[in-house]
Amino acid sequence: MLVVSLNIDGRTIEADENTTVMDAARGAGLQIPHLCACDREGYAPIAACRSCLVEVAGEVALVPACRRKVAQGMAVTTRNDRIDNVRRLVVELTASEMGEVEFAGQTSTTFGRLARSLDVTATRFGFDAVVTQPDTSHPAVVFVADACIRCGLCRVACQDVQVNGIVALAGRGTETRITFDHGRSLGDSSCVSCGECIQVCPTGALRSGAGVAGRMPAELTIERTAETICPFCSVGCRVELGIAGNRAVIARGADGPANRGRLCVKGRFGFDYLAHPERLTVPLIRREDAPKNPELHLTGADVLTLFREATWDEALDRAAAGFLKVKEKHGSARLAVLGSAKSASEDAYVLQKLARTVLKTSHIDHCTRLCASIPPLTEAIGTWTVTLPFSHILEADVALVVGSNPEVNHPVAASFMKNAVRRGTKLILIDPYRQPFARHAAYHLQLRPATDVALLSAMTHVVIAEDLIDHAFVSQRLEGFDDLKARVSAYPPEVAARVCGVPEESIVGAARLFAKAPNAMCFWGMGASQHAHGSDNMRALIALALVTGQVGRRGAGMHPWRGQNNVQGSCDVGLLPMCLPGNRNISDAGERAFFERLWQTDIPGERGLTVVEILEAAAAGEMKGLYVSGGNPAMAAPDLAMTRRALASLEHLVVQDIFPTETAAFADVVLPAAALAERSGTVTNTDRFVQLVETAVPPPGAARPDWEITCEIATRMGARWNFDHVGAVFDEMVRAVPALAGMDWATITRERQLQYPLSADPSNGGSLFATVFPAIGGKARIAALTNGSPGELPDEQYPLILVTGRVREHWHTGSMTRRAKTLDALSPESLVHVSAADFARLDLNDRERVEVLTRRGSVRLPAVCDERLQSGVIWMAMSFFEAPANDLTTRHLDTLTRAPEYKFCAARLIRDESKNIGSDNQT
Amino acid sequence: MSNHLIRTIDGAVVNIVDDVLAHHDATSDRALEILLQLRDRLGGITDDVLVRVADGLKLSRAELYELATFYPSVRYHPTAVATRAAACEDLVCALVRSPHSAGEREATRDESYLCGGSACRGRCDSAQDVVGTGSNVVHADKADWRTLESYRSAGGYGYVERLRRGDVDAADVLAAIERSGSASSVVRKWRAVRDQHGEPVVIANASEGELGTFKDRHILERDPHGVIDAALVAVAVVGARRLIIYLRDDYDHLYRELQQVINEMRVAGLGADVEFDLRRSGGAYICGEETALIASLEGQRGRPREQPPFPTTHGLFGRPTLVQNIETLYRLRAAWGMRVEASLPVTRLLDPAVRIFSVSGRVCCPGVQLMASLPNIAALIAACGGMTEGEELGGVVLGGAAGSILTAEQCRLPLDDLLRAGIRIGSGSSVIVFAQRDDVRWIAAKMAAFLARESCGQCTPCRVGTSKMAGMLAGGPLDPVLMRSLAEVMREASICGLGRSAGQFLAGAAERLQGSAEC
Repeated sequence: MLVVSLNIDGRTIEADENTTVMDAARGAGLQIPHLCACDREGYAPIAACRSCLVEVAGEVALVPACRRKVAQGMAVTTRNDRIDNVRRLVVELTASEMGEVEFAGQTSTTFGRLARSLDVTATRFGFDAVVTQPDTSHPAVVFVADACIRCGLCRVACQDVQVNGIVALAGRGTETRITFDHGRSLGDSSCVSCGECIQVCPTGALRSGAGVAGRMPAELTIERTAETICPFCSVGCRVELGIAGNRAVIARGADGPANRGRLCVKGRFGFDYLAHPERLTVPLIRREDAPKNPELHLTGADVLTLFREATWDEALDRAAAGFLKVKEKHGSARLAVLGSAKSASEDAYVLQKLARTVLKTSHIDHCTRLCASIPPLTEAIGTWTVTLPFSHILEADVALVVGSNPEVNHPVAASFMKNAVRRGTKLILIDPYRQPFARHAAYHLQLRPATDVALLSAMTHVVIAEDLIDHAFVSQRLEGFDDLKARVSAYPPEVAARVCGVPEESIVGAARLFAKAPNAMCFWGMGASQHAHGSDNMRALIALALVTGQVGRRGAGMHPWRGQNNVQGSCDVGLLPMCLPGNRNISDAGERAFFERLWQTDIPGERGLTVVEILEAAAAGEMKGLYVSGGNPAMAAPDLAMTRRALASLEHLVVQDIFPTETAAFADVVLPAAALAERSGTVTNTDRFVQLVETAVPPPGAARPDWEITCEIATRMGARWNFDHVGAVFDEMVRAVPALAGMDWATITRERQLQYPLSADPSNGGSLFATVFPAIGGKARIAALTNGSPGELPDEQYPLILVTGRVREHWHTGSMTRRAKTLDALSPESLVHVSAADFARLDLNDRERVEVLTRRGSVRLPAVCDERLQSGVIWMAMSFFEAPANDLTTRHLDTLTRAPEYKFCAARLIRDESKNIGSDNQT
Repeated sequence: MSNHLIRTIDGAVVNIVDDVLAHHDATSDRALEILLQLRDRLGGITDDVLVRVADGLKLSRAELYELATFYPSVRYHPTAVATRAAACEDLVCALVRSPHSAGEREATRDESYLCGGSACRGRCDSAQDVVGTGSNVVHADKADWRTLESYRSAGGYGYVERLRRGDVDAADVLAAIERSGSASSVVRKWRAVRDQHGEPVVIANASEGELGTFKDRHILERDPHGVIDAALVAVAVVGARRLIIYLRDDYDHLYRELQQVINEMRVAGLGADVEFDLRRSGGAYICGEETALIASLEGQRGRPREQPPFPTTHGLFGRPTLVQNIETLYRLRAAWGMRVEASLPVTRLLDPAVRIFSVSGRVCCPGVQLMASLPNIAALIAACGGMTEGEELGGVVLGGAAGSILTAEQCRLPLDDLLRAGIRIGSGSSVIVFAQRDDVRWIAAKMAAFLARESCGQCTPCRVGTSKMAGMLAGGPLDPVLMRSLAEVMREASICGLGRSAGQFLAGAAERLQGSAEC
């Protein structure tokens, strides 16, 4: 990096030699007009709009400031008669490419502001006389061709930044035009609705769909903006909400450390659940005449009929009294708490403190259990976090992705992964599904479901056989290599090729590519973890990464995808049955003593039960009281028939949520909580960034932040806490969680985001463990496999494999996203995906209603043919109340992580003769 | 969400697509050539083919659609393949076939008259031949090029062999070129490429597309080895291993010829260590411009790139790249002693004093003219047998689509005076002759329509400006103030020479038409 000195409009400016004139000017507070330039990461200069032309001394032609790099001694003039005249003509000519009506509507757009600043109110060149109909075929994005100036910024947004590859600038010359896919309408295109194009379009030619969320109604003026963190996945995107009348009406990507201004469909169009009419606004108490019926599956307004409104005092008294009663009658061990990784860390901290110090139970868990991608990494190297941020993929030579569909589940992170591929990172994808993301892969090893161990072991076999291991790493930093060597000897690639259905040469090629890479990263998702042998999948992958020494450097390390927006924070503060805050072993008396001093009370020392175990205990009559804060086990847990029985059998169930969820239908008391955007606190993303949230909009009605409600219950049960403010919770949390060492509320409020550990060497850019691991002895350890297999294999009666997952538009159980109009319009119903071969064999029609059955239950829903699926596999999303996939799933748990096997069970699919008479087919 | 649809594609078409894909590395930079080869076999590209190629190349459909709709030669249509080519409607063909006067023109005016119809295919010298043949365009293209044997017997490939043997070295070549008085830009470019790090590439640019220009075709039809010989010297001097011959797609006879020529050379063991890559342009005029040409070779739309950086340092995929046109390469051989042969007139180009012109329009014998001395344009017309019978000289368009419209009077002025007055002949040396009865405004409108169609569409001043310019000239009263404003913004703000020269042209046209026509 070389700093040069240049002169812009008479001012001397210092700038890095790689910056553009426009950026250098901006850095000095000088704005050079522009339309097709965007200063965000990934936007290369287009220089097509020509509104940023400036003079450079010594050059005859005007040069675009957005593209020209600065140089030592350069003298730039950004305004004089010549430039002003050309700029005005350019804008006038640009206007003439629009329709007259659309030009007149350019009031608040970038183009409108530029035209106004140059006094261009009309064009002598004549407006485009051809008036076209806007493309309104897509629920989220509308394209108004009459407002388009062909600057190509949307194309860069779609092709180069988010790398979704849908927006094209087709044609040539005067025929140049914006198109989608190969000339489709938006609605018929593969648009993934990230809305990046809407965010950058300088004329509003691309805008949010009419009448649905994300579109700013013309009559509303944005009164203010406020930032929050997206409440969905673990990427933790910072969002700027535009607020009118105390209501969020529009969302834009803000410059967060993880998202750099980007959002996905959920982040952009998923916020209007905040103002949904079904929001809980008052505390509710179950009516005496509303029995808990496990046969009923209710949600939303139907749930509300079971309750009457109550005051906070009455509801809190009832909640506390119920727990006290169970405690007295059955003992503390019959009480359990289920939190949520959607809540802020302060909520989670207070909740686990309530469980341990007031309820005196260790049965405390939350939904992270259901994804459980980190314990094998803890087992291997002692960390409870990713070893490096996902953005390091931009520095990695190779990225190995196992059991993940990031474009759907972590879309913003996926965009950076695709950026990396464009820059030369080679992608190895191991996943049974031929997802669109596979287009970017150098190798897509499309293995048969649940054969990951064989495949990964074969890759390790190749690496060892060809002596591609990192000898220094293996000898100095690893234990258990000999056992691993013996174990993988059983998996020569030709054997794995047969088991996995993957060509042998691909296995060998991928193994070599990974091992030989100077820096390689591993990612894994729930395709790896959500199996009865999920830990083995992850252990096999971790072993491969360790023997090749691919950890501890920039661009080399392991990044298990976390699920919800605050998985990391919830785990850090001890919302777990086997860990105290800071991931400290509950069975260790010394660790317990620390907390007993901190909390001034004794705490239970035995490991508690996990999510599914708590529910199973309830079904067996062994669990009597449950406090569910933010979770929704009646949709999220496997085998929902059992789950509903479990919930219905509880003597006391308190549900604290923002909506009347399926779980609330079984509650005795329902407490209305504030959503993330309605309160302050912190959440920690997948990259270990602790991010501040502040109140963007007020909570509806009487709803209150989770931590406050929990504190009220604690007080009513005799606790004396002094949390007068969320900052006080944060500061106590810091004392309890070593990872947060060095932080305090004042600092996080000022800095807004801090990546822990603060003590990390900044030159590693957040990649940890360069020399030593946090495991005992400082070394990594190859764990033995349990040699598990799927809990339920297909048979004659249930010949298909059912895999469940999520769609891009919906989050988890759908409680928020199904209540976001645009998201629900984009993805309104559950569909069972059937491979082309099975679709033909079963002689199905597109969207024909079918019945899917397993040994747990059955659901009816439309079927679609999915050419990307392997034959013998069917796939369903978990988020649809109307056809809950978890009515079908099994309760087989992984022995280490206790995560259920959502990715594999035996199923049968038959035509739904009962419903076909009415012909729902929409072929 | 329409990705679950089951698509059907004809099995035979699938086989052809897969066959073409299998003959390439299936890398996206080959996308255009793959589409053109499929067009050769299928007649055009339909959506089902496009989708399959995109999947095969791991491109998004949008990316391939951009290419397919940018390059007209791909002949993309969503569902159908056009069965025959329409007749050329560009300036020369239309001029030769059209009525003369504005009145007659108005009488036959239809929607496609100005910028519809089919584009110039580089046969302006045989424009008369297609009169009366309707839309079946047939050209009697020559295919009797000089054989390798004949070329070698005249000393061809001798120098490059000496260079490869080490008898002469790169410095000798550069010195020889310098001494020969060739354009100084040649030596400067070769040096720049040679001095760069990274593996250089040499591109022989046979993508001449200027209106009324066909000189490179003339050379390649007669003496292709002369071009390749010089290109191989360039390859050796700059240290390249790859020679790309980038051919105007319309020259399909030359595509076949050059394939044979390259084969001949392989058999003879010439250039054995050079990777020959014969690629086609896709029918976009702008791909004659170096950076647009390079973009198209990278599998991108042919959009010019702002310079600097220059191709010599940051060219094809960022590698140092030497782009030389056909005439330059052909003439260059004089530097190492290749001499004019009386039996082959095209070799007169080895004489630096000889100028080459592409003459078309209303002359008796349109075609390439080699002139050792040229007092004025009128002499060139005389060399072409004079005006067609019954026509008076009205003037010429000099320099192609964005060139100058000269009056008959100017044609009789000494050429040197014209050049001193700032008139440019242009690299294509195109001279389009029109008659006194021809409507100058119609000619200007035709030129503008060509530029509007051939603008790459990248920057606003050129994309919108050429279109507005064509609209202004097409009819109605002319507004000189507005024309000057438009000319100014195009000249000042366009990215590349097309838009800038279009602005220059408009400024000239505004002057030329002022008072003359329906102002």
